[in-house]
Amino acid sequence: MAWVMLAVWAGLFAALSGALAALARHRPEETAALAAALDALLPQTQCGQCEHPGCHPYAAALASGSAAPNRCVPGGSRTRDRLLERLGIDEARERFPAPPVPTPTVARIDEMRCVACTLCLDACPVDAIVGARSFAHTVIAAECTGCALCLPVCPVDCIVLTPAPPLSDGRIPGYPGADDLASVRAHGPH
Amino acid sequence: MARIETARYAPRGGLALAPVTGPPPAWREAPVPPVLALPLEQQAGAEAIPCVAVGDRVQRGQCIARPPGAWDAAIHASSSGEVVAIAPCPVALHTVAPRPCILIRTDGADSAVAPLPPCDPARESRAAVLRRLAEAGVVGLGGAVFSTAAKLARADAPITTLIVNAAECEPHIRCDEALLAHAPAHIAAGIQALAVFLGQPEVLIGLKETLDPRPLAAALDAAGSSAARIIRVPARYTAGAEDVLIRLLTGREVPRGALPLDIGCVCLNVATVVAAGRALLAGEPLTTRVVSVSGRDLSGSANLITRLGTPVSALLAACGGAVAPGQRVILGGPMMGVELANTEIPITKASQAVWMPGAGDLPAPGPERACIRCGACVTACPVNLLPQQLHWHARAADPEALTAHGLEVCIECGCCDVVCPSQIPLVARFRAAKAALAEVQVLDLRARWLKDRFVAHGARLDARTARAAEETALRREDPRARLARLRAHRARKDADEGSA
Repeated sequence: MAWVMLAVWAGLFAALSGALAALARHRPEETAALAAALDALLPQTQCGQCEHPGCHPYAAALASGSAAPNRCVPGGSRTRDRLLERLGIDEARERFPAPPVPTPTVARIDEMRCVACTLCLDACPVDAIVGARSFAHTVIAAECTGCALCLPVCPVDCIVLTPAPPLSDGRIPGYPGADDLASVRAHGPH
Repeated sequence: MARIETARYAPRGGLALAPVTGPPPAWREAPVPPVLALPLEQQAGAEAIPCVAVGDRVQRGQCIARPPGAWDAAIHASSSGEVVAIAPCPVALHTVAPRPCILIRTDGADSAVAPLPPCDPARESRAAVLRRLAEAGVVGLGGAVFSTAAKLARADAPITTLIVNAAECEPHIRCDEALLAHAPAHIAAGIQALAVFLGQPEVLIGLKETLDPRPLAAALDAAGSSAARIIRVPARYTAGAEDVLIRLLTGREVPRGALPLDIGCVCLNVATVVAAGRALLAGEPLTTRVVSVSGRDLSGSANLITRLGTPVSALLAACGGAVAPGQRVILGGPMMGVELANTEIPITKASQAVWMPGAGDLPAPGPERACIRCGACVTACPVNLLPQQLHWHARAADPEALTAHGLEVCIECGCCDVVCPSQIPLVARFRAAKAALAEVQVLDLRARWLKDRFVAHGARLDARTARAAEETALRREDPRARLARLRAHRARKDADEGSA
């Protein structure tokens, strides 16, 4: 009798886990669409504090069900709530406490110590650092997300994080010079 | 004879507030105070750049600060004296907060700079007229302080209707009433000048029905603007709000997210019209405004021609009022005014009235109770919103729902607060929700921008990697293969030259 019960339980378990796996495994294009939608809700700092190598990889992990929706540090509770809502698990807020949002910062290069190695230029995910080999580098504060990814690559540790200027201070599109920059990008320097 | 009519379109929402009774307020000039404080910021955001330094002597009408925008209004000294400091002082612009101000110690001489030459809109170019309005510091004196030149410069479609706002609907604010009684000729001259500038549009003057239209009608006839129509509008609160007045006078609705210009209307307050007329015809910059001073403890209410930068305390003193401990002082009217903790706050171009409420006025709201969805706020809302729905969505901090219900359309008039039986401070909630919504929108905009930059960064790195791989492949090419490739290339070139 016992083995009959065991078999019934095992069968039930297999059916249930199969159903769950099917639920989790959307069709690939659906997963990709969900990932794109979730990506659009993320703050795009590309900081990696969620332990994924950028916002889109985290969104993809969320879409495939392999990441928790409260991992985005700069997004805080607002991003967590939007992710939960989009994932349709809006009631689960208590299970996913939001991380405390740190004070916004921007990176600053001490140009006297910069050795102009260009390593930070590639590390910056939003190309907010200007410079060239043997020309000291500097951070465009309006474009910096404060992700800190430039800090570990600097061989002389000349980059520090400083409090960010207010968002109204040219840190959104349309800031003075945005059109010039776009034109340089499109057509090369004047 | 200018036509006098009654508004054909019925008001929607709003409140019938008890009118202020008593004799008309006295009309006189306020004394020039010992120190004037002129804030560099007039509208939120744009701060003017001082063009005087500490220690400079200035004269009345001298430009002391220029704003960054081309059509923004300049700031002028409102009396003669010495610039003693450029430092933050508390100023009431939306809220009371310290803002950089130019402080002038007046010398009592009140000497003025020579006025600018007249700028006749019939002869001068459009740009010259707009530049004059900006240089003379003309802004909306109905409380919005938006630069009049900037407002008119935005019009790309022709303006078919000039609306002059004399509907002054908040009790205790009677500065426009005073202008209508004492300076109708200046109003008519301003209307005439602006009508010429705008290409003779239809002129509609929205006049509060309790005010006498005859002095203005006579002045309009004398100025040659007899085609202007004076339309009497109900003395009902929010009849003076721009969009509401346009609907009362023309039946036209300003679409959500659009400006009156988009339906061919431009709406200016009477005081603004006077200031624009003086700037164009007499070359006078804006250095004064009329401020209504009233209150139970004053020897008499008055409309004072006040130098901009005069502290509120000087106006109260000029009306024989002392601020007793615990006495409240409101800058503005009972519905939309700000309570001042400090009466040294200066009068700005936005200050229409100073009011000292008596003991029974402005009772503190009772304890807030739950919304019972009675819908009284819906009936009272003059701009067709559903305040009870906005209330729930503001509590839930739901930006999508707040946007869908038109939160940004709310003019914060306070009608819903007054009628709410549960005494919910709705306007305060909406104001906070608007600030939160604006922040969310800025963050979303920035996220989209950062995403574009991140994609561009990836493309840049990929292109460089591809280029490097190509170069490496070329370097690693087998020497014999390279020789063969170069020989083939040379042969092709020779063949080309031979055939040429």
